[in-house]
Amino acid sequence: MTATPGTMRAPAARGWWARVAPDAEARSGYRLMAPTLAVMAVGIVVPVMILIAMSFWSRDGLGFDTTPTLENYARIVTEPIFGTFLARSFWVSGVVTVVTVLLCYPMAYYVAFHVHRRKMLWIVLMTLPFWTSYLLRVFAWKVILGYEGVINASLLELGLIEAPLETLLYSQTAVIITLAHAWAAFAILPMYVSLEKIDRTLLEAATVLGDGPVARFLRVTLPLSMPGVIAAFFLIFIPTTGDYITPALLGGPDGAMIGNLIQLQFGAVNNWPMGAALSIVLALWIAAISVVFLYLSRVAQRRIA
Amino acid sequence: MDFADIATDDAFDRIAAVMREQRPLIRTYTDDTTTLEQALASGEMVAAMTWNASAVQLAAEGVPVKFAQPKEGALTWVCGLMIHKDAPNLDRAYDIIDSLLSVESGQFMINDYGYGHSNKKSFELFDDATLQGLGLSRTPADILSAGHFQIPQSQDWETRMNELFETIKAGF
Repeated sequence: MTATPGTMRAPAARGWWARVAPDAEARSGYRLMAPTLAVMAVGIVVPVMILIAMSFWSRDGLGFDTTPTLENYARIVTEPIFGTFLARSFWVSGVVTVVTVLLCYPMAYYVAFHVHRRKMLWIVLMTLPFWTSYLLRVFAWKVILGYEGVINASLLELGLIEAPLETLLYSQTAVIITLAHAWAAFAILPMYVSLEKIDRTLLEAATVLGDGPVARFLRVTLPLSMPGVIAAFFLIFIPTTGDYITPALLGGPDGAMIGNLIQLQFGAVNNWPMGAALSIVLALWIAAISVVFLYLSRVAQRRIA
Repeated sequence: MDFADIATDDAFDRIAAVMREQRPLIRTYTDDTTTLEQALASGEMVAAMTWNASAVQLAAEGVPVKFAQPKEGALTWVCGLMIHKDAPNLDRAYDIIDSLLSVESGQFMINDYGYGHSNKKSFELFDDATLQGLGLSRTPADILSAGHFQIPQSQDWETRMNELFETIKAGF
């Protein structure tokens, strides 16, 4: 991350500037990017710096003790509550990601390969639920999964169950179902784009050279659509790990996730430095898992192709 | 445990132990009145910690609920109104306070919420049986002396309570 430099007095600074922007074209590029860079600096870099600094502070009554300490990080390592919440969040989010990608791939595939007229209408129809607010969709699932909800009422009416299923709502299952639905659009769109881009002549070539439908899919379509699948993975996995609303409304006592724990540190528990440290640790874990996934998917892609 | 010792380390540990024991029986921790009222009405929950207003309103809807009065005496407190010393529109502030304290407001609050209103004349509009059914009494001093007044705690103590409560809710 580079910011636009203010002044260029020292020779060392000029050397740095010359490396970053060696010619007029590069300098005009930076001028064009200046608004974006300024927003990034003010909106992302500065808050993250504050968060990092705060994570080394400690709570002192209603204020902060700004003496640097590693106590917050030590607590995250030693107290089991933090590890449990992190592991649960990655488990829930991982299941959500896999389920969403598996459910959405066929939809994206169908529109990309078998719909020939009015593709835009299909895309609009598939993303229609996402025109309503996220919160409304979460509440809709509460109505569907509830004790007297749609599923329980139907099953009771059909005589399949004696009493309403209590595990539908206020559980990790409820969180997984809701998140998988809420983020579906973010899986369909990137996968549709990469499936749509696949050169159809490659598929014909595969057929002519003797591949059946399954082999053709595994050797041509799937590897070529992997960029979309990987994009969908990141677009779902990263935000759902820290999701706060769904577990708060549907998770019940055992469905709470790391986002809820972080919110509590900034709210009822009133320990902002701890919340900052938890946010940093969460971000680092997500980064680490993403790097590992990216590496594994590269290896897998190479092996298939 | 005597109520006078409620703000001690010993009480802290013993209350925490009871709350940990309760946790497996709890469907969800929420402060959302609607969620609790609906759960009680549908039979999803058999008991809930709510304001007495929820019990009064559910009973008015015909749901067979009862507000449990602990034999040790309920926790109680007094709500008050105040005016900021630099308030610019004093007359309007007094208008609001007058309206909140009026007999008509009191009648509505008592009838619909079972609220212990501060205007004594409001209570005269109800008979003793009705008031008793709402957990109230014609003599406000009776209501106040039957309960235990919550004691304001230091910020450190409150933070400690919140921290422990959240830890227990999370299952630790």
